Amino acid sequence: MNLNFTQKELLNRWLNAEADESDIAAIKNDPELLEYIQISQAASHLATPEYELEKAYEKLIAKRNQPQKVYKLFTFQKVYRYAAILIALVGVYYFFQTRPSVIEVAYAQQSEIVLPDASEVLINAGSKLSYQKNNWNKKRLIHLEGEAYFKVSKGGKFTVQTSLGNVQVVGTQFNVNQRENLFEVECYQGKVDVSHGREIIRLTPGKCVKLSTDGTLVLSSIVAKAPFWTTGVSNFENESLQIVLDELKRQYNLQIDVDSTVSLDQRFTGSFKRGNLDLALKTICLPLKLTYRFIADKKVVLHAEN
Amino acid sequence: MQSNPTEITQNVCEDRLYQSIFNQLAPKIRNYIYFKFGNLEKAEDVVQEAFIKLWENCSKVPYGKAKSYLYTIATNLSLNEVAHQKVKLKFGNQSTKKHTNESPEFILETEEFKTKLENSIANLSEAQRTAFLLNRIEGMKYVEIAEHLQISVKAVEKRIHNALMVLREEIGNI
Repeated sequence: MNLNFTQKELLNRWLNAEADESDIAAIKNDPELLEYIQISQAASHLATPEYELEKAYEKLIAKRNQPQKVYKLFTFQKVYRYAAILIALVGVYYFFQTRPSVIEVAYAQQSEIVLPDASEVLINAGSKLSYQKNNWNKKRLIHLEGEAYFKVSKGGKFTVQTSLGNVQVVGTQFNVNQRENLFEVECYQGKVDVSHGREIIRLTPGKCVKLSTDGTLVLSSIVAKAPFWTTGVSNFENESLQIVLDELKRQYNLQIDVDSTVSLDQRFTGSFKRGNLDLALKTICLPLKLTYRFIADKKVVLHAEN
Repeated sequence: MQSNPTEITQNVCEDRLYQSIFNQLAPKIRNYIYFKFGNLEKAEDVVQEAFIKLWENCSKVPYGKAKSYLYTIATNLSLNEVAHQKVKLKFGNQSTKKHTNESPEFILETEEFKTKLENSIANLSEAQRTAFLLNRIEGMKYVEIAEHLQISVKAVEKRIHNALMVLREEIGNI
């Protein structure tokens, strides 16, 4: 602004409504100053749009008296919405991070896996095994449904969980077999703790433990250096026919119908081999005085000899 | 704001008091926000919001603090909402004269000039426009504006002078 001090003072006085007669006379004699005053004057004739005070107050009271929660809930809903999305994302991430590795072995097959710590697991037919890959070295925990033979490398606690009991070791070789009501652990090396309910039994090499029908763990001995099944033989020590036939079904992917004349509780001691179904059937049937008959490719009916 | 001694310590939860505050301040705040951001509808919404906030916190705000409380809330709300929108001022014609001693016989009443003036005012900076219009339309003196905007009187003077200079350039020869 090119005005000098006096001009500015005049302008200020006029704008503050403090100008007297002589000031106004001076302004009128100054064309530049007069322009500013004229603009100012024109601006002061502008009016802001009318504000309907009473109406505005009514509207305010109406809005004020609405329950406040309506407004707050709305914002909370937004928060919840984002929270839900966040939780879902975290959930998905967590799901993929901690999703257990699951290995299922079908009938008539076997599978061998190597765990992240180089422990080896040989899984028998018709078994399912799951474990957490990403946290393996901190927590060596395996869920097992079925039968598997473990060669555990040295390290921290190694636990096998089954629905009938847990097996805990440090570094060893052992076999776990859990099928329906059957629960059997054989120790081949090192020390193995087997728990069922509150009962805990420590196995040393050459010992095995089996869950008896009255629900207690029974200790006995084994001779073999590794489970029979790992060498292609299924071995039984005084087992019920039911258990023997179940194993036969798994190893040969077979359907077996049993005639009512056959008692499934009768005991069987012996073994059968994989790879020759006829021979396997004979090995089981002959000592028990049973006969078998194929009614389809993979379907057999058993009945008692007359 | 008139200050009746008993009312100074009173909080504003009482409806009669609340309404009197509204009657006194609502138009001023509305105009202030309007001058600042140039959006009438939003300015009125902001006034409403500010008064609702005042009611929600009425027990905490004594009568004497209500004015600055309302201005602060309104300014903050409009910073969130109105800022960055295009300034669009629209004025009516004031029938009553505010200044009795404004002698220069000058009434520029052509629509064309008014539109030009409105547009030029809209193009002023926010600080210039607010100070200028508080002086011209609300009739506030430099001291009052300075207090209101919490700046020095010198700064008010500068803003208004600059505003006038810009307007003169934009409008050109009258």
